Formats: sequence, structure tokens, C-alpha cells
Amino acid sequence: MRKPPQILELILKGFLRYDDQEAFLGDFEERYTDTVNERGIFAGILWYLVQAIISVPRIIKNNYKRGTAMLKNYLKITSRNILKYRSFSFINISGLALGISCCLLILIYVMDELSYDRYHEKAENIYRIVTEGLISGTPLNAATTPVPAGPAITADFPEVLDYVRFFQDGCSVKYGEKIFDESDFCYADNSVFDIFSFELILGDRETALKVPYTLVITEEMAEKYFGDKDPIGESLRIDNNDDYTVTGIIRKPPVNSHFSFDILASFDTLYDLGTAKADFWGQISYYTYILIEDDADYLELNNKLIDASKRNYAKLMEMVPGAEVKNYLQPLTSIHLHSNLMGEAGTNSSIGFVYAFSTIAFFILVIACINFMNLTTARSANRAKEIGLRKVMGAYRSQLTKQFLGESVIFSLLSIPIALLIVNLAHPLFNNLTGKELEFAFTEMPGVIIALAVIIFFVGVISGSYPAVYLSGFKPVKTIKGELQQGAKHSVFRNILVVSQLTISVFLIIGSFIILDQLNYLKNKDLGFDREKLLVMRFREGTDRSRVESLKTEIRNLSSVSNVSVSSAIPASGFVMIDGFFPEGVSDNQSILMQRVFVDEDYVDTFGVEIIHGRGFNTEMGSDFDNTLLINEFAVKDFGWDEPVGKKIGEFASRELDRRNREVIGVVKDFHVLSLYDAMQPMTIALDWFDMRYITAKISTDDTQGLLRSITTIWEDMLPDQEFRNYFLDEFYNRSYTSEEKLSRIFRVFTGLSVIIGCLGLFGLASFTAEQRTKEIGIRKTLGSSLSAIINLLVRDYLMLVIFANIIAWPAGYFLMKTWLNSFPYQTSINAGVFITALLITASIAILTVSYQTLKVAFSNPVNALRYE
Amino acid sequence: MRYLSRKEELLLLTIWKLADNAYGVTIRDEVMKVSRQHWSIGAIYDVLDRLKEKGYVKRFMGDSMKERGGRRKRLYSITKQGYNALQEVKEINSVMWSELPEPKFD
Repeated sequence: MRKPPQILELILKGFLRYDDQEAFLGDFEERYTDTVNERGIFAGILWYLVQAIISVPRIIKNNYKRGTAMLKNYLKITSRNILKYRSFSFINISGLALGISCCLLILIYVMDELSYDRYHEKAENIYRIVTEGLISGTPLNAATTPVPAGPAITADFPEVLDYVRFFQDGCSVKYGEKIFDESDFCYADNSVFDIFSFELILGDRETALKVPYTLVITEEMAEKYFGDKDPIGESLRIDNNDDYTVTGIIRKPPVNSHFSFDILASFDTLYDLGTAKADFWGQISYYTYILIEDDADYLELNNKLIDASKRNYAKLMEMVPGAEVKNYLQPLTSIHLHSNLMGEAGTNSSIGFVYAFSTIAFFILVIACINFMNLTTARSANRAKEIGLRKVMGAYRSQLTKQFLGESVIFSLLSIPIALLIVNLAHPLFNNLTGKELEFAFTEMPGVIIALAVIIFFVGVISGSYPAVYLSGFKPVKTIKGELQQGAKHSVFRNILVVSQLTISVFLIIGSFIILDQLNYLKNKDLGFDREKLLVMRFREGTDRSRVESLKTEIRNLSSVSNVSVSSAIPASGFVMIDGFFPEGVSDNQSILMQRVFVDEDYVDTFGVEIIHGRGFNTEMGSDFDNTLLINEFAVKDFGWDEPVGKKIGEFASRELDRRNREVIGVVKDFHVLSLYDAMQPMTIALDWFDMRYITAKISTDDTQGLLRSITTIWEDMLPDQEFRNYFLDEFYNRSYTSEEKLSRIFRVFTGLSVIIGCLGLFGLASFTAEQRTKEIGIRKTLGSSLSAIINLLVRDYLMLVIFANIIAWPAGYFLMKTWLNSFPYQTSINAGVFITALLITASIAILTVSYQTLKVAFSNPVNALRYE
Repeated sequence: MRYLSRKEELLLLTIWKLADNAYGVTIRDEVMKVSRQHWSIGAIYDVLDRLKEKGYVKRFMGDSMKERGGRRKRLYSITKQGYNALQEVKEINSVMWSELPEPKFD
């Protein structure tokens, strides 16, 4: 005959009171045997399982009703214990509180990251159309589409209900005397109100953006331009050209949106202005979102879309041979964490960040729990007598287990108010760290409360279970006699806990060092030009050449300015135009994509770019203008040219399709026009007036404030209709690594915290061991052992643990960080120093932590030690 | 004093009916047969414990059986108070029923 599954019986037994067990389990088994005989073993087991599950709540309820007799006593003992061992309780509870608060903070961050764009009522049915392609072998991955994509797709597929297009365009907005540059100025179709859940506070959502030259603005904008005046019907002058009428007030999109705007203008305006053509597939600069039916299959639609792309882009592909372009869909809610395409509407986060964060949170919680286990066991020696006595007086083991489980739950409960306090105090710091503005209103976050409950359970029961099971297993006689069982098994288990804790710390230390290394590498790498003391000023594209030229002259005349250059792109700005070119002898039919910069003759000197071959632009030779080129070293290598000077490179003249040639007159040393996130690419620099937008001044003074004041005066005099926007290139460049900087800071902070929490655990363990060995050390001392020998004896064990943890953490840290580094085209090398430093840090911290207890024991008078009992 | 709950009444009647053989398994089988509802073992014991507390049943350990893995049964039998409580519920019910007019449904 078969017995019911042992494991189920054991679990069930765990819930039962001792005196109920026999009858209860008997009943279960009897019915189980019947079921097995009638319907087979499988049905029997299933029956047992289902019955056990539905019975447990009743059993618990029953136990609770009857089992409160000893509760008062347990509570009293718990509170006495907390008070009696104050420092111990403090370490234990604060360690846990610290762990929980880190976890909570990170949880709130992660929840915020996951909440992006979900506030739209139809969020699940909204998709963004994006464009993927291959043009002359260079991949194109854009977050944008051509103008006709949205209408065409909506017309072609019945499951697509509606579309909305956005076009982001910074421009200057003028009302009366007020002029501001608005970077969050967007054109949008009127359907924006049907598809998204943006709240239109004033105005008619049916018609607000129907007519060209109408716009809706956010409350902040209304306040900024109109103050208390009613904005509806007022007009704003855009780019000093056209007047747009305000038709509505819209609520600014919440922070957890992947794009934002301050002003929305009617999309049809773009047709009127001639910027957009309704049937032109060649200009991929418009964000398109579609709304699909509830029951439409998005993957199926995606496939159909890829097919339709062949038709839609047919004309375009004819013009550019070998090109291949297609559209596909991205769910709205996945954009923030999963999309990193060209021309994203804002800076997206990445799911990797979320994972990294969650992992750290988990690690810290694990460390805190391990501490808790270690400290509670460490304290057990003091309570052995109590346990023995309870057992003698008739306590069941299950009662003791419950008592200790209960104690640890109470402990973890105590840490929660402290954790909440810490979270409240630390949240400005945390916001600073993550660059977010997170609110911590716990009552409004049921998710956090559930998470909190889970954490309480996790910490209370799981960390309490080890001491509860271990302590209650002591033999009463031995404990009362003072002979504790300290089997090797238990210390091995504890050592494993400590090693895993240390391993995590070592890993985090290695990680934060390597991130810091990489950050410094990126910041200090030679970019191929001199980035110090460069003041960059931005003017609007299309500003009259003569006005810019005279502005340049005025600035050049300032004594503290040594050079000024006007250009279409500046180094390290993260933005550059890319175009197709036809280098002589390399490619005649297929264009090769190259970065394209238009400059004036002072560019090379202003930025300190080095010319390594040929010559730079020369204004005296009038022929340089419009007809010569500088290329970078990379291009020379890429094209395999031995003698680049004199070669011809064909290009499309600006936006028309007739080809013409420019002659290469020189080669510049490679410099980074993008940031170090992007690998070096072939580049052309032409002396031409096209798409100009930057004036850069090389300054030769330390009085930047004074200089800025004088340039501001000049600017306001020469370009009164444009805001004076400026920055220093080196500062700007360093800012382009904010996400690494953020990661680095977060890593450092949490590494620090994990080390602190880990120290608490070691401290507890050290006091435990020291206490265990008081007698041994007393004897050693009486027999003539030296102080150093004893310290060596006590510390050696910990050092072994530290070394062991390092050996485990090194390869793990190396491979994980190497993977992270591989996402950068330019990466620092991982040197052995990092690992040695991690070892030294952990070893010295461990020694410092344990030495307090160790020295106390080592210095103590052996008489006291031997009189221990 | 509080009347018996419906569940308590059912179990008490079952114990009375089963006489010498009233323990977890048989009680559950019988009550499931009569009430045509599913009862978990936990639910049975929950009610049995309540009955025990109120003094309506007494319990004692019976003999062990092989099918039970050698574990003894916990047998239940009805007490005088239990019998009285049942009687009381029955009387109230019959008084109520006897005074009812013909039901009208519309």
C-alpha cells in the first residue's frame, strides 16, 4: 500500500497543532487510500493536494482562535530581549530597515519606469510606426516615418482606426515684446485628442487643431505669454513669420511620457508652409502613432505593414538604388524602455537599467536577510537556556518554532516604520541620484503596499526560519548544562551565508570601479580637437548670412576672443548630418554614407583640428568655396586611398538629385563629431554656407561672465529676434555622459550601502565566534599564547572567507562588466588593479569590523574567561 | 444563548446518526452526501472544534487502522447539551413552519 506523498504530509503537519495531528492526518490518509484504490495514484495525490490547500486556511483560523494562550508571554519575552540586547537589536533592526528602504526606493523607481505612457486610456491599442532600412549598406533605424505613412496605413488596413502625426520643431515664439525659443514645439493632427488621453482644458477637441495656423498651449505657456489674460483667440508669432491663433489650453503631458510638448500646432500648417508634402515618402521626420481595434492582432498587422512598405517606398527605392525601407510597429508602452532609435522624441531609458536596479535591490535585500539570520543565530547562544527550560516545562518544538518565527516577524515589522522613515528622509537624495522627481505617497500606491507586505513576509518568515528550526532543535539537557551543540555543519552554513554576502559586495565594488573607469575614460579621451574654452552659440537655421557674418565679426573683435567659426555642426555635439557620397574610384553607383559638416574658413583653427595632409581652406583662393572638401583620416583608410589630395568626391547638391564633384584638398586627423557612444565614421568638411546654426568662439580669458555679458549685448543688438542660447563645449560634452554618470553614482551609493549592511553582519558573526571561543582563548592565554597569535587565530578565518568571496566574485564581475563595456565602441581596459583594490577594500573592512570584538576577547583577563560560567 | 448555526446543526445531526462510528472521514462523507455540497476536511474540523468548545460533542481516541497509516481515529459522540440544542432548533423551526400562510409568488 502506498503512503501519501511525504512532502505534502509534512507541509500539512506544519500547520497543525500537535494534538490534532494524529486524527487529522489519519483522516487524510484514509480518504487518500480510498481514492488511490478507486481512481489510481495520480488522482489520489491530486486529491490530497487540493484538500490540503483548501483545508489550510481553516486550520490556521482554528489555531489562531485557540493558540493565543502563550502569546502574551512570547510578546513579553520578545520585548525584553529587544531591550536587553539593545545594541544587538539596533544592528539587527537597522540593518534590515536599511535593506528594506533601499529595496522600496528602487521598487518605486522601477514602478515609475514601468508606468511610462500607460496613463492613456487606449494605451494598449496605440502603436508607433517606425522605419527600418538599409541604404547603401548603412542601416537606418528611425523612430520617425514619412508624412504619408499614417494616412496610407489607416486607409489600407481596416483594423487601423486612426492615426496621428507629430513633428517636433524648435522655434521662436513671439507675443508682444516677449520672445522665447520653444524647443518643445510640436505640430500634430487633431486626432491627437482622440488617440491619446491628453486633457484639453479649454477649447473644442473636435476642431482645435483642424485649421492651419492654430495651436493649443499648456497652462504654463499660457501663463508665460498671456499672464492672466484669456489666451483663446490670441495670436502668437512663430519664427517671426506667421501668426498662429490659440484655440485651446492643454494639460502638459505627465513626466512619465516618452515625449513631451509645450505647444501643439495644427499639422496642416506644415502643408501650407511647404515643409511637408502629403505624398512624399522621402522625408523621414514625422512621428506617427496609430490606434488599432481591440481585437486586432498586432503581429499580424506588423507583417502586413512590412509587405505594404514595398509598395509605399517603391518610388523612393528607384531613386536610390539598393535601398530597402520598411515600416513596422512598436507598442506605445514599450517605447520608453525598449526603443533606442535614431531621432527619438526624448531620451528613453533602457530595460537594462531597470534590470540593473532590480538586481541591486535584490542583492541588498539578500544581504540584509543574511545578516538577520546570522545575527539571530549568533544571539541564540544566550537563549539556549531559555529554550531548554521551555522544553522541560513541556513546550513542543512547534511552539518554539512559532515563537522564534513570531519574534523575527516582529523584528521585521519593527524595521518597517524605520524603513519608511529612512525612505522619507532619503527620497530627495534618491531623486537626485536618479534624476527623477518621484513622489512617495505610500497610501496612494497599493502596489507598494502589497510589495511591502511581501517583503515583511519574506524577511520575517524566511530569515526567521533558520534560527527557528535550528534553535528549537537544541537538546534540553545539554542546553541547561551549558553544552551547546556547535556542529561543524552549522558553521559551514553560516560561512556560506557570509561568503555569499561578501561576494555580492565584492561584485558591486568591482562594478562601481569599472563604471567609474569607463566614465573617466570617456570624459578624458582625446577627441581629436581641443575642447577647452569653446563657447558655442546657437542661432536659428536659415538666418540671413550677412547678419550672421557681421555678428561673427563683432564677436571676433572682442579682445578676449581669439577665434570664431560658423558651422553646421560642432564636434562632440551628438548631432551631424549624414549624406550619400560617391568617392572617386570607390563607388560610382551606390552612394556611401558620410558625415557632412559645412564650415567657414576658421573652423579648423577654432577647434584646433589638426590637418595631417594637404592644406586647409584658404579664403584668398576664392575657388575653395563650394567646391573643395576636407575628409578625415578614417575616410582615407576606409576608401583605401594612397594619395587622397586631388581625389574627387561626388555628392548630391543640397536636396536636389543632380550630382556634382568636389575635390579633396586635405585630410584632418580623426575627431569625434558625435559622442563616444558612436564609432568613428567617414566625414567630409566643406567650405559652404548651408544649414549653418552654430557660432563658436575660442576664448582667451578666464572672465567668462564678463565675456558673456559683452557677447549678450552684441547678440541682442544684431539678432534681436532670437534668444541668446549658449554653452561651453567641454561642459556640454561631459553632460552627454549623464546616464553613465547616473549609473556610476547609483552603483557607488548602493555599493556603499551593501558594504555597510555587510559589515553589520560580520560584526554580529564576530561577536558570536568570540563569545563561543572565550574559554578556549582563556586557556590559550594561560598556557602562554601571545596576543598576536590569538588575534591571528581569530582574524584568519575571516580573511579566508574574504579571499574566498573574492575568488568567486572576480570572474563574475569581469564577465558581466566586460559585457557592459562591449556596448561602447570606445572602452577602457579592465586592469587587475580593480580586482586587487576590491580585495584590499573588503579585507580591510572585514578586519576592522571583526577586530573590535576580537581585541575585546584577546585583551580580556583569562581569569574572567575561565570563570565564564 | 446563541442558536446552532446551520453547519453545526448538520454536523451534530450527522454525529448522532452515525452513533459509534462518527469520526472525520465518515462525518464528512455523510454530510457531503446529505447536503450535496463539497466540504473540505479543514472545514469539518473547524466546525467540530466549535461544537467541542460549546460542549455539544465529546471526543475520544478510537482504534488505529492500516489505511490510516496506523493512526488512531478521533471519534465524536453527541452530549446531552448537544441533543438539547438540536431539539431547540427543531422546535423553533416547527413552530415557524406551522404558522406560515400559503406562499404567494408573483
